[in-house]
Formats: sequence, structure tokens, C-alpha cells
Amino acid sequence: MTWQEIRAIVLERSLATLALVLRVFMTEEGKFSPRLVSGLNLQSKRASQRQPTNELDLNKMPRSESLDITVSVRKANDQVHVVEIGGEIDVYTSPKVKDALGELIDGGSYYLVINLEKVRYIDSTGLGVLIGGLKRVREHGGSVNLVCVSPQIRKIFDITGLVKIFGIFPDEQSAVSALA
Amino acid sequence: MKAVSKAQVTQGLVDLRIPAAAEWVAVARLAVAAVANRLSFSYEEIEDVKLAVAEACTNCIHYAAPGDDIDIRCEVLVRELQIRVRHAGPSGETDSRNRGPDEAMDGLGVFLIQSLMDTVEYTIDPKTGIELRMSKRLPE
Repeated sequence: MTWQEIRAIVLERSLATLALVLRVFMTEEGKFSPRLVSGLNLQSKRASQRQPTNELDLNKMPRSESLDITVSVRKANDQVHVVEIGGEIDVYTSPKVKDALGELIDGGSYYLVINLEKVRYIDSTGLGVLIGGLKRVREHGGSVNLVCVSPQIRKIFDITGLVKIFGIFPDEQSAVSALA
Repeated sequence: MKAVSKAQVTQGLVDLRIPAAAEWVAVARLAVAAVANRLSFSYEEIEDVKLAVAEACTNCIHYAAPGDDIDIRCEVLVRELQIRVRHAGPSGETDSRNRGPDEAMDGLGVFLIQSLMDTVEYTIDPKTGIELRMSKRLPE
């Protein structure tokens, strides 16, 4: 094997390794939360301008935990529906609650119990959705009762004065009974 | 030379930048909770700080244009935790067209921050963006 042949093989392998390294970096920086990396000051300005490749787009992959909320609806009796919410109600997840309430109200259910027992967190956006639901059912002579056991969430209702406009109950049975 | 009181000496500084988008608010909330958790705050106080920061971020999102970021700075002082949340758009300008659907609730977020934190100051400038500065005293 001549010196030129050896040099050609080494050069080829080096380029292959370099290409592999670049591909790994571009995948991490260009596709998966480039702004987070930017926030940690790990990303150069040039890297942030790279276009993502089409090989493995993590942003397009399904993420089962991306929406930390569950909303389920069931009938408590002929008149009352229970909306059970679990997880965190914030600016990202509240549209899901809004949609569920909107669907029920559009379908003619005006007596609702919203069970917040499994809710770990609620912000003003979530409160806004609950208030919006209450306003809508009241237009039809209906009402909304809440089930709230978490002291932290109860505190938010106390601070904002919403305890005066919602019926707040420690358990679902009493919340449903109060609407009957 | 400007004198710096002992109470104003920084014990720790944490900077975070997130995209000004709803799905990133939880990241800010958890990061700030982790900072507060390192201090002597109670569980309830940590929850207060989390909510206040999330409300501040949500306010910033209402003013942000697509592609903007939010800067969150947590500064640990001897007796308090200071937090600054700032909308950092590339242009530095606010975009009022991007306001949320529940515009009537605008004041509720700021009201919550004021109720949960010890001090709150905010500036909303159409040219420089929105900035909220808040603090919570550490337990004695």
C-alpha cells in the first residue's frame, strides 16, 4: 500500500467521523429545543441558524406527557354532569378544559360539578376558563359547583374572591346534591 | 464607590431563557420552584413563587410576538429571593395583537402576583417590552 493510498483512507475516515459528529450536533441543536440550549448558553449563534435535517425530528415525535392534564365527563344524575379534571391547569392546558366545558354547555348541560380533587395547580388562565363556564351556564339558569380539597388551590379561590361566586365543596357527593 | 449592604449581596444567580410560548411556562415554573426549594421556603411559599412566576410569564406571552423569548432571573439575596421576568423579543417591541382570548382576566394574573409575593413592580413599554420584578422574603 502506498503512502498516498494510506493518506486517502485516513482522510476518508476522518471526514466520515466529522460528518457523524456534525450530524449528532445538528440533531441535538437544530431540532430538539434549540432555544433551551440557547438559554443555557451552550449554543453558538451560527448553530441557532442551522436548518433542521429531516432524519429525526424530535419536535414532531408524539409525546404522551406533553399535555399534563386529563378531563373526563360523566353524568351524575339526569340534570348534573361531573367534569373531573386532573393535572395542571395553566395557559397551555386550559384550552382543553375550555373545550370540554364548551362542548357540554353547547349540548344543553347547564348544571355542572367541576371536580378539582386531582388538580395540582391552577393559574389565572384556568380560573378564567372556570369563570367563563359559569357565565355561560348562568345565561341558561344553570350553575357550577366545584370540588376542591387542596389547600393551595382553595387559597387561590380565596385570594381572588371566587369563593363568593362558586359553590365550593369538599367532596363530589355534596357538590352534586347542592345542585339538585 | 457605591456601598452595598450585606442584605443585597447575591448568594446565587440563576438565569433561564424560554421561548415565549404557553408550553414553556411549566419549565419556568419548575425551574423557579427548584431554586426556591433550595432556600428555606415552606411548601406553600414555593407554590406561591411558582404561581407568581407563571403568571408573569403568561403576561409576557400575551405581549410577545412569534419567536420572542422570556428571560427569567432568580437572584438569591441574604434575606429574600428576587425574581425578574422579562419579555425579550428580538425587536424589543411588544405585540398587543397576540393577546390571549380571556382579555378580561388580564388583571387577575397581576393581582395574584401582588397577593403572593412581598414586593412587585412592573413596567410595560411598547418599545422595550414587559418586565416584572418581584421578591419574596425568606423565613426568619
